[in-house]
Amino acid sequence: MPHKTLINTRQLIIGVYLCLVCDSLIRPLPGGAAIAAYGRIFGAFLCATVVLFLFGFLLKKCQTEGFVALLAAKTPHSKWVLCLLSFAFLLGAARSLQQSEMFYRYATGQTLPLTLLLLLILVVCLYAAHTGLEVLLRTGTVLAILLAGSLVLIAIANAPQMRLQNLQIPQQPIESIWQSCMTGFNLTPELLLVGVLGHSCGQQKNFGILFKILLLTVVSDVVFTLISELVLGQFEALQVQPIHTLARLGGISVFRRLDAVHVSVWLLIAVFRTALLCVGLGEVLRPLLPSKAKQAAVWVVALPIFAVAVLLYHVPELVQQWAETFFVFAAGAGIAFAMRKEKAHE
Amino acid sequence: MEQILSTSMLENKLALRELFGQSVDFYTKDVQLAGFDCCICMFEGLSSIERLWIMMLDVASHIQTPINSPQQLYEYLLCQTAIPMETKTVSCISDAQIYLTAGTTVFFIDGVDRALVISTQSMQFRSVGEPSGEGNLRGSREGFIEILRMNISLLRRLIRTDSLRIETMTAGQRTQTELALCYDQKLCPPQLLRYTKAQLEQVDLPVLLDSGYLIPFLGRRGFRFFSGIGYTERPDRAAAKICEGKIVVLVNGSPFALVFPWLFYENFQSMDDYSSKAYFASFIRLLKYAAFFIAILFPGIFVCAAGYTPEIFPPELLYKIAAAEKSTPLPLFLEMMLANFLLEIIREAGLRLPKPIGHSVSLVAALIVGDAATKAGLLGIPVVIVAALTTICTFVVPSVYEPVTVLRMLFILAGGLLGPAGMIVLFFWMLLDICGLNSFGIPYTTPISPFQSNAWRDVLLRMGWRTLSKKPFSIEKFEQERGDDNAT
Amino acid sequence: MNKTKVFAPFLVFWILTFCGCSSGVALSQRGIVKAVFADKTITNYVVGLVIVQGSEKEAGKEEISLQWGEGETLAQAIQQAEQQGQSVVFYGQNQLLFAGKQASQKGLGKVLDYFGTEQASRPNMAVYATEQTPEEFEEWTEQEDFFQQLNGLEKDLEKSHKQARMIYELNTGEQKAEGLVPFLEKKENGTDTSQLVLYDDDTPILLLKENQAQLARLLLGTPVVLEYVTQYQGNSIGYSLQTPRITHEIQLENGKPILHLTLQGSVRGITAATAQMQAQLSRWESRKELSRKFSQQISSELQQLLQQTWQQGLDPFGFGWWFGVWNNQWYQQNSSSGALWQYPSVVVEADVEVV
Repeated sequence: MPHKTLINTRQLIIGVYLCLVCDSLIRPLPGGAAIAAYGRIFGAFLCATVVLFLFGFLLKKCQTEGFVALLAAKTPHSKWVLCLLSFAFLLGAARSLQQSEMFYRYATGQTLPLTLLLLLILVVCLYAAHTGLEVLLRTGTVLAILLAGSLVLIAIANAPQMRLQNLQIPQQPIESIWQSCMTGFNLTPELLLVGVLGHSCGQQKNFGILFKILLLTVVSDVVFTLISELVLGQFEALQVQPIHTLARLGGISVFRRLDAVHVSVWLLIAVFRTALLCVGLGEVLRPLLPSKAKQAAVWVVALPIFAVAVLLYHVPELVQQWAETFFVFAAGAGIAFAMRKEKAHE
Repeated sequence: MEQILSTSMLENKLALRELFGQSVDFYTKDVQLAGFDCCICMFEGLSSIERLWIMMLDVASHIQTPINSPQQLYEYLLCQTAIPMETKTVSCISDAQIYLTAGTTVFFIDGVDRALVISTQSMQFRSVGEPSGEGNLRGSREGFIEILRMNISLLRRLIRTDSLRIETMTAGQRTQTELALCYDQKLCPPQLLRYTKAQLEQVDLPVLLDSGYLIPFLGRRGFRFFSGIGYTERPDRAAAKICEGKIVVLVNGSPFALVFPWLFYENFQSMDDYSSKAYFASFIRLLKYAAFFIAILFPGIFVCAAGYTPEIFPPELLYKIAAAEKSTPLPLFLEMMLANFLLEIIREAGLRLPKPIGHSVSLVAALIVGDAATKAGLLGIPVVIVAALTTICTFVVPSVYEPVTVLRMLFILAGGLLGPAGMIVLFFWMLLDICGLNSFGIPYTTPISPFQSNAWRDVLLRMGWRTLSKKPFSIEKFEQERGDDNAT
Repeated sequence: MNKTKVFAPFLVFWILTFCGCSSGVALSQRGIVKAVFADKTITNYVVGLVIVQGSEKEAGKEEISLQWGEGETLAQAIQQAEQQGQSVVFYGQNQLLFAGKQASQKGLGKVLDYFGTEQASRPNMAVYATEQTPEEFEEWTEQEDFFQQLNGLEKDLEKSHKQARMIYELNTGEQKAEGLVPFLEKKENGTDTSQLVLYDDDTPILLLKENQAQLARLLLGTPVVLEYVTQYQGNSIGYSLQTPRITHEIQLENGKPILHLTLQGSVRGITAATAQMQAQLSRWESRKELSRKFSQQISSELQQLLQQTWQQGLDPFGFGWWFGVWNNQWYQQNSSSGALWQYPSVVVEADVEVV
């Protein structure tokens, strides 16, 4: 019986939230988590406000018919805007793939051949993208439940180790917050997903969706930061991935080391993120492809994603972060410019 | 082109003899009734000759009105006697074939181009007893049997409202098997019914000997581990599903009724849940979910943890597992594969063997696999324990036995060969497979994903009947809620 | 189902099996590290790895072996130690780190720093300072009940009122040991880890024993049980303080902040030498008097601890944090100038009740 595709708004929120929170879980912090919790928490709020401001106006435009026509390559500016979006999603997907592999190697110490691991993750992500957005978002709901379980387990296991005296007292708050914003701010292509996919998600405005996503992400970040500083104290500054350290510390009863369980859940979310970005890439690339290749749009992107992911191993993390931010900003600016031109033309 | 019956009784009889060949069970007898030549045709074993003779003698002794022509005799027998007859009469050879193979007697009168169908079915069939699977502590002990009409009557006894509809059709070119579509006219969505009928009419099977043959024709094409069509052997369960707006398909010759749409959570429901207390039913429900995941994941996780992430084990357990692995010749994941494989062989052997020998299988299995193999150091005790526990967990949810067994093997391979990466990728793929399935337009994992509030009512837990009775479940309301959720 | 879809999975399986993609190590090939011993000579580091493997002679029994390594750096010493054995060394179960005599006296900070940042080791490894030389440690491992003793130490880690301190609690990244480190004393019939060594600038300066050590743990936030013996009406009585807790409060007195630490708790179960004494203890008047007496005794122990630590300019218990929360600028100024210690800025008292 033909199935009516319905993209649930709540599922889209959960899906994009998982992508953003994945960054907190698996992205390495070069130089350690040296900034105190208060700096990172206020920095998170500030960055989220900036992102909401930057994208809020843009996403309002994404619910108009003009944007739908832009995405369908029916306007004069479509091609270059879609190209910009493609670059942003391509870089995002490749970076996500690379981060997943690096985190896997870091957390488990396994020596699976690099190519094999990248291919394995890429194939399953492309298959996920091929099954469609609705299926992927349904999977995201299940993963969100697993993530909640993992985080509750970490909190419970580490609760006895929390010490109030581990919280650092603000020495130079403004400087700390500014430093946190500078090192932590970045724009990721998942934010563009809300615009690219949001118009098919019912009546709720994109701005509302983005607000909820950012709120959830910031609250999660605050909780992670607080717990890690309460437990680790000054030791946190030496950690490349403090939440992974928390996972290694916490145990329940005779099971003293459960980090393999947590790492598995986080890697599932990383694979989900890569798959969702592949969906986004497929969506923006499809109008640019010849009609014969449109059906296989998802598979067409396999080689570029793999190639860029391999290339990224030679690029420093900070450069990758800023390159991604640049492309996402450029894509957003491109959309705004194109929409404005269309409106002026009308 | 259909062969129409002729007025000559002999021609009709010879046509049927030619159709059925020299089949020894095809019985014909020329008789005279009210002075006219008649012929009775039946299949021995399907029809009762004694019942027929009693009816015929009764009629012969009670003919009061004068009958002057074969047509008059035909009208008299059809309308004025108390002989149990089908309302339809036979006008062609193919209809005669259908009625004869259904166990009725076809009665020809020389000079009439139609034949009467007398209900003299007397087939040997299994009595209604307890179903082989789906055991219950409380509740009904009746199960479907192979006879379609009996199964229909079992349903009709349970649903006594006027909205129960039962429509029959045939499928299977060589077997012409009868099947029945059962649904509640007020609760079943019309588009589902239309789609089902259209699909069943297009069924292109040479033989239909079990309801399971219809599944590929009703569902979507393509490979899926899980199925959006369920089955049940219990009339009470089938009745409950009909009352939810679902369709039940009964097939003659099969005691298993198909139920659809079938969602993931329904594999974990049983009729006992609704007879026992809500808190206990909820506990058992959660136990089943846990057993499902243990059955699929536990051996793979064990193998993966032992080979790649042994820090997960508590120290004492780790030393024991290491010692057990040291004393056996095979790598752990091959041991696990072997143990699971052996258990599947034992299960299959126990199922297929005759009952007198079947008991020996369990004895031999226990001795060889459980005792001798471990003492000889061929299999480690932890591996045997894990495999046994997993097998028991598999039997807790029998309706998903097939996908669970295959997935378990795949997870062992993935965990053994690729470690955590393999497990993660395979688990993600399995999730995609489950979440990607739609059962007749409804997401298979509803209401867990997409999440709906009624997941707490009767999915993960079971609320009390006072809560459940306030808003009884139905497919149409379910779809409506799903649409409302997406509109917000 | 077409042929490609049927045969592809088999092809993938054979490729994966035969290309050696499996990077797992069989458990029987792993040498499970139970404990690490790290010590210093004049120029080098010496590391001993206590490896556990299943016994080949006796099923269900474990065999302990010790692998030594020496090198200019800890990393080199560990690498050499790992290469001594046939098995692949596995640190996932390692929860114990013993610092030898020389390392405990000078250089503990570097040991903590190395193991705190090394990915293979666990951040919740328990650290013990010892007075054992490598030879003495080796002798210890040759004892019959060594494995049981190590298990006992590991069991302690699972308790809420554990005596151990973890590496993440001690490692500040400055390559200097600061604060309280448990001291492991080897005894005839086992080990004693109740004592604490106070480190300042990588040097041990104080050894806390018995109830002083327990009070120190309590001030660090670990649940403890305090056991005391005192004299009452000419008789010895023993009592234990279950689940004591400490409250912190800053109060301004004469314009200066004073941190008041109050130890509160209930005493249940007092034991006396004679039955007559025991009966007397249960009377209400006796209980009131005992409450006052016990409070005084515990207060004086706390005061002694304070004299040895805070009043010497040391802050292993984080008292400064409370001043910082009250007014960080004031705290920074007065702690760097030393004014914070020129008046009784921390006051302790005990308020226990006999029930």
